[in-house]
Amino acid sequence: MRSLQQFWSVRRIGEDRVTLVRLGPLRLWLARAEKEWGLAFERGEANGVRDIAQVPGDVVPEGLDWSNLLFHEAPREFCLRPTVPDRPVVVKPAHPVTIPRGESGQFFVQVPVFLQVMILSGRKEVELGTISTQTLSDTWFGIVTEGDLCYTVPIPAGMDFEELEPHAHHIVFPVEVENHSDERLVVEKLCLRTAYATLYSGVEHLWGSTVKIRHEGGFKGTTIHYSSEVPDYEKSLNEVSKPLKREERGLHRLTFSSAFQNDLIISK
Amino acid sequence: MTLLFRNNPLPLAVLEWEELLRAPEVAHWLRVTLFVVMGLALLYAVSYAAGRMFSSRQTPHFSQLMRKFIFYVGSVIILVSVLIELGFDLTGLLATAGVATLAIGFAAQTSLSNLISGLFLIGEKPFKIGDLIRTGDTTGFVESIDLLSIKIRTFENLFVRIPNESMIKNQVTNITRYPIRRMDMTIGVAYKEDVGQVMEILKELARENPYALDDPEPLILFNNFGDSALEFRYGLWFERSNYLKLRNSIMREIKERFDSEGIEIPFPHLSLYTGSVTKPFPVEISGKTPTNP
Repeated sequence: MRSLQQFWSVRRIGEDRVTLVRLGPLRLWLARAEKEWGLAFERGEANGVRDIAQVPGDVVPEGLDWSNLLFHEAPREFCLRPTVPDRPVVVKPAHPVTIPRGESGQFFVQVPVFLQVMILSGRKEVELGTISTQTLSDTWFGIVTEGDLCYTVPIPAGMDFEELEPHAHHIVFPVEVENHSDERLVVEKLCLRTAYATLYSGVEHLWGSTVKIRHEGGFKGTTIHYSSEVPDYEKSLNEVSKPLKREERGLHRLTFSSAFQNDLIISK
Repeated sequence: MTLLFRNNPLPLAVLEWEELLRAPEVAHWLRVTLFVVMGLALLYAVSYAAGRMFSSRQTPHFSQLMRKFIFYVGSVIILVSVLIELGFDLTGLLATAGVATLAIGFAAQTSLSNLISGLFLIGEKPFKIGDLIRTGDTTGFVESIDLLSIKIRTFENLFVRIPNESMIKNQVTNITRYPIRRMDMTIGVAYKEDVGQVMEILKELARENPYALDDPEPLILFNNFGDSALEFRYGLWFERSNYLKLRNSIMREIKERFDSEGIEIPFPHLSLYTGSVTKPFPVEISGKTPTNP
């Protein structure tokens, strides 16, 4: 498999040609005609696949839903850009994890990447579509009358990166939790607002900003910070996507809690 | 032309206009016209500005009502001013106003009731424009909330006007008030099926369906020993706009999964006995299709 960094480079498609992009379970078909670009996709079961290849038009499955963009003269170049889900994500560790007072813990959260297909015409970029590499299930973070619609991350958050074996279509978010409160902290669920994160591509994996959570407890609550430092778990990372939103102070008060069950995900 | 300007610098036409304007009736009518034109323009501007101001701070229907209120009150003020300007004596009018109010009160009892109900609706805010509500047999999206009635657009694209009094008196359900909802279904399986397996399958289907929320957790309840089936209550939480997507997908998935697992979804059964509780009514199947003589 070629370097992941090459996957995000600019590519060309000839007229009336089709390119197949495979990333994890996603099979993305890109077609270019004289005056239009087309995009269609399907999802399978594969996880470890990551490649891009020109394919004959007759191998394109029938019954796909194509979305097309019309141009006066269709540009030849396109690139794929990794991006975060369009909603916050909720992840659970395999088992509730207790962090004693004054201690800290680290998690690695694997979030399926979204692919943004950009058509390049000189300096102009036109978005052809943004597709999730994996179908994500809805979940709710908050109480039944108020909260956020989120995606569930299907893979439990791990604590040892060596044991994770992230797939080609996963963004890995390191999460550092510090318990500065007077009580122990039991982490059952985390809500990550990935729109505040920067994405980096290594040779092997995609990385998100390190999420630093400082739990003070009581009235001081919890502060969350999406670090701008490049994660140091893999060498020579390139920034491939900037944060979609600017971080705001006090925005992440609910990061741990799911008040619907009338209990905090942090139990004391 | 030279002679004309010798004693008076203004042309004749201008002189005629000046004289005309000095005439009391004309000046009178001009003032009235000015009142109406300027008053209405000012009224439109004020009600528009009030609407803008309230729309940024209040609900859309409140700002709509405030605009109308300002407009109607302003219109009355303009009308009274015009009448005074035209020389009407309003003392008599005011004297008869009490009697008129009584008469109008009797005649417009329903309208007044609706009007007051409308004010209560505004204060209570049980719904807002764009909400999906159900009242009686009518379900639809609220298009407008006016002083006398609310207007609803149903799913069949019908326009329904409901008097405010009726909205106050009857039960109203706001379907889209909260961001998430639960869809409850009753699912029946044959008595021979394994209850644990059915519950596990329902749990899996909820987990795999992208529109069913993982949290709050789905409700799976072995609810009843029914006449023909073991009955389960299956409640799935979903984001309020995904009702149709969830309903369509989960129903299909339940049927397909039950079929593939060999789980029977029974239709109503009826056993007939001939006097004995142990021996069923004998039924013979000939295997041949009866033919008409």
